[in-house]
Amino acid sequence: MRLDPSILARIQFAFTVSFHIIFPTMSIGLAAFLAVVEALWLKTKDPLYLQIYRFWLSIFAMGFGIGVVTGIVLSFEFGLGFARFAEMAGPAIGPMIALEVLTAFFLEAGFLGIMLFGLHRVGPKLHFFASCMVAAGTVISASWILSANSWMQTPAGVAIHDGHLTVVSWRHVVVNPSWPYRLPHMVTAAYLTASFMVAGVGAWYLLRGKHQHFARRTVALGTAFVSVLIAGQVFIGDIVYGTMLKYQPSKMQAAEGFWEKNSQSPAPYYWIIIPDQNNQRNRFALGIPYLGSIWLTHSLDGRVEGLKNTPRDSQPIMGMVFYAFRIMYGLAIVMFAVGVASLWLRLRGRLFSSRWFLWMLVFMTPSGIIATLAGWYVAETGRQPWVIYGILRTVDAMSPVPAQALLSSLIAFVCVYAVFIIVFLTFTFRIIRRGPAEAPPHAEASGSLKNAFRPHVLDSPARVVKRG
Amino acid sequence: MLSASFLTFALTLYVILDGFDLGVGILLLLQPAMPSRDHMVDSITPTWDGNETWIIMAGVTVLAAFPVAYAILLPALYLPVIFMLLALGFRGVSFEFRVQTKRHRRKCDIAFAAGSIVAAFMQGLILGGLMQGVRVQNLHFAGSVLDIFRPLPVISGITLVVGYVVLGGGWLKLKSNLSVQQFASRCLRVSTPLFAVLFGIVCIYAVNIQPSIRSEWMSHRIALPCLVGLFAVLAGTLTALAKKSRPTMPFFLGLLLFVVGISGMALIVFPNIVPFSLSLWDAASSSTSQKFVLIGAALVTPVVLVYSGFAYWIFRGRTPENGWGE
Amino acid sequence: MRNSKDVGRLAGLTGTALAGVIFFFIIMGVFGQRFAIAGLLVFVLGAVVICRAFPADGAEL
Repeated sequence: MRLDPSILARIQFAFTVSFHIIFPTMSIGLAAFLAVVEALWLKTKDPLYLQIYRFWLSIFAMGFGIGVVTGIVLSFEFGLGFARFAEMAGPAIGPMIALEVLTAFFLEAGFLGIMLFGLHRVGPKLHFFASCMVAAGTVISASWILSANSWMQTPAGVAIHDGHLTVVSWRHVVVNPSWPYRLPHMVTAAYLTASFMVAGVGAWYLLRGKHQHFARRTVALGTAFVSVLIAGQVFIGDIVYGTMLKYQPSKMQAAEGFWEKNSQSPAPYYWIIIPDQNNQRNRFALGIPYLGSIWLTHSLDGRVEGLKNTPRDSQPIMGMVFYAFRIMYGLAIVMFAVGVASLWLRLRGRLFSSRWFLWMLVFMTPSGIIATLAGWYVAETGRQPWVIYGILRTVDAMSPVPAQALLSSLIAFVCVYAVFIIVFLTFTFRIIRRGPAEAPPHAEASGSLKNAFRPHVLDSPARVVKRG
Repeated sequence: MLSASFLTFALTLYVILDGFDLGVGILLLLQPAMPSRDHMVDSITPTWDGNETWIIMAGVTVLAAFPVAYAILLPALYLPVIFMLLALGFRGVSFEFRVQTKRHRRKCDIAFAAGSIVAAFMQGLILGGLMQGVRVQNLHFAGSVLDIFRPLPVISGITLVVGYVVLGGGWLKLKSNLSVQQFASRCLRVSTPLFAVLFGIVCIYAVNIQPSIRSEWMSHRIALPCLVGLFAVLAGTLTALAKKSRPTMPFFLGLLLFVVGISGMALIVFPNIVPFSLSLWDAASSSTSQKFVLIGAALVTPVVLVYSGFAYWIFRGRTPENGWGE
Repeated sequence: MRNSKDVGRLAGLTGTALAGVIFFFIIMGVFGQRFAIAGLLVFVLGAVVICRAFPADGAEL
């Protein structure tokens, strides 16, 4: 059986990076959420905020840990699977990742210890500072790595001499054309992810009639953040779209499902297609009439550019880009609807009593993760067949590693990562089932935090916890 | 040149910092009593995350400053690097989840220990593989991924495992309560001489199979034997002091042991970065990239060291009996 | 059973849905950048005002 090393290397990287991105997305969002909650606690002295903090802190810590270890894998995987890419791009993205480690990873790691364990060793203000530093660290980290990935999408600031890159302008490498828009898009996505997670768990408790105070507060907080953030996300998303249309037209052509160089006028907005890349046409297409022209060209009769505008050997695979984009975009629309609904329900005073809405929140709990993953699939599969757009093709970027080695490492990764996700989900669900620990009513943000942070009663088989 | 120094610095810091928490992990297997194990884990809990970050720093520095070497070394070391990453990951996850459960804690400990052993062994394997030499053709790796499974790397792997046990023992002596301290002392008295002997075997074997190393020994006729001598003296002192000394000595002696070992290896490898075929300068990226990294490193590393030190200081002294209350 | 309360609710629901869709189009930029930015600001500020004025569980924020 002939195995293609380049396909295996790509599958391996796709698997490890997809798995990885789930966790930093949660971590960026939850870190910010925790900092906000701790600030509210310090300001209002309401012990409910402390309860919320403790509850989400443990889930955050687990997710952060998995994010770190899966991230370590990635920093070596460039070289393991894509050595020629690493060799070529190293001078440009290497320093960026180095600075990510220096400015962000160390910051997070250093203060995380204090955040998790320093509660009776440092005062409340220093602890809050630690929480803020961890939140800041996650954003700084996202900033650098997004700069590196954006450079791969819209390279700038380098000169090429027979296969070697030299950096001509660091400013243009770091602040490349797509970075200023992709960064806020990703960070907002992370914040939305955490908001939906928080709201979803709260909604679940409300539906079960448990932990009422905790549930109400977290649903209120989560939906508030969603409604404030989602509009911005749609706005930024549209700007990112416009930017990529300019710098990576092939990606957006693939994303919309049109083949012909100029579509019919007015153009529909496709939701379902069965693309046939070999024959450069859709075997089937279903869409809403007029909406394509309206959304994509902002006019009633505009024509949309199709994938045939890109030479065949530079075309990404339409099916992947199209559906990944639709999933992300579709979820964004649903998120927007949820945000608007939450505002309306607040006005009517029925935010906690509308069961259909609470169920909606529960289903939307993982929506941020799915949307973020889908968005990244748009970004990465849409960039194909390039790994550095316009400069290096993915097939030319491989390592001289035999297919068997790649296959065995892929299998090893899948097995080990499966253990990670099972353990993570098991413990997260256990924490959710157990519910927030009761903080003593007199717990205050002053002096001895020792009383406020008693150790959890861990897994005692004899005890069945029913809280209400 | 400066980048290489930074790289060495990062690697050394990694080895020292992660060395002891890998060592503690390995020692967990030898410790039957659960409360003592809890105590051992507690001693590394607050600071272990940051320690692993230094290996990322080292790897990324190679990518940024010596991309040709990165592109050669990683495929060459494919299997050990993959297994090391998986082991570190496994270890990290079992550590995080250990806290969450009492019933499965022993299993988490075994997972943590297994991950620590595999990671340490793989690192030793990598070192040995580097000493053995990497086959390069036209600036690309030209050997087989299985090259690494030969005697020298394997012995190096075992040596490093034992070496980390020495560091782990020293750390425990420094940080833990009386019963664990005694356990640590007993471990030190066995592991230190074992480490020294294995290290000696590795040196001799390496000289025999890699002609470049032999020539390096010839050219550093004074320096290298001095380092070896220093190593032996330190090892001897450590063993002697294991039982009775002040708690700080064994750990610092262990650190010095590693620094000496690393200096020796650096002397042998310099000026190559891919032993023994590619020099630092051949593998380097342009000076703009190097400058970017170095300026960033120069600005940020002191800050990192300060607040890492601060974090260690906050958790100074003996690990509390009942853990960190969380 | 259709009573005035239900009709009122339906009207509110439809109105909100319509307003939401229009805002969505605006923020997407269908009517141009300037309207998009303006719409965004109105939406965000409106959301903040509503959330603070109607804290839903009596929390002080």
